[in-house]
Amino acid sequence: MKTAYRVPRCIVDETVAHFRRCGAGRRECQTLWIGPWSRPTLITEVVHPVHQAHAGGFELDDRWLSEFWLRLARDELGIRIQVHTHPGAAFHSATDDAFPIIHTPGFLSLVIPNFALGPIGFENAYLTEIQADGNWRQVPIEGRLVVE
Amino acid sequence: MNGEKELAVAEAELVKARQELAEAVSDIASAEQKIEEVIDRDRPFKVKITYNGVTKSLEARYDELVKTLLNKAINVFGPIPQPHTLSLFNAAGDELDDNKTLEASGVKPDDTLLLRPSKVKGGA
Repeated sequence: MKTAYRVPRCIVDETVAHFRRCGAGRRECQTLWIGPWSRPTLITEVVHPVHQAHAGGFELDDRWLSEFWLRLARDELGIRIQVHTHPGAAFHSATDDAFPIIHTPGFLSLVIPNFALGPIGFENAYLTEIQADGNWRQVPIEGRLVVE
Repeated sequence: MNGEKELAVAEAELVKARQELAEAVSDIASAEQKIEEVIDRDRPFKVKITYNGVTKSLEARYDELVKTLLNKAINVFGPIPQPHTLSLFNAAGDELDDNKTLEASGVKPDDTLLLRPSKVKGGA
């Protein structure tokens, strides 16, 4: 049974707003969708990490990552889905495959095309999931991300 | 007169003996503390490891390599199919060297350590 995450509409809107403001149509950008462990299928917050980015990639700030890790533990929150933009088509690159924030099977990564400058939503987006063998496999967005 | 002289010598010897006694007591305390430290070093202790918002307690030893504790943490939070991508960090955000002991890494009982990727990045 694959997990279907409930994603409030405002989370999607806020995510796209981060991508457009931070990426400005020139740089990739990442957000993290998190939620409480007490309700593991619910997304309650968008986190916009401190990162460096350019047209073809991004990297999270190391110090920020440690502080965020402590915050997750303190507030009993978990990262459910990482979301990032690509300049063109949405897919998972070799770098995306190798350096996710979570390495546990079932973790999802959503890629939004065209620096998120298109229609708000998941049109032409790409969703992929870590398998038990560590490889990523594309999965349908419908049924896994329920926007409400 | 002779008696007074002998008394003065005896008093000086007493002062010296008291000083030596104080030093000996201090040496004993120092030796006992070292013995306690050696015993404590061999005694297992608990550390907290946190991964993606979940914290678990693991047993550790001062003479254990960071790599050993890392492997235990990965097993506890697993399955994690690409474990080489993860490292242990202290609460200050410093990455612990896999090949050092916990003692050399400054890990102490009840410390919180972070199990997290060394790098998070993406690119088209």
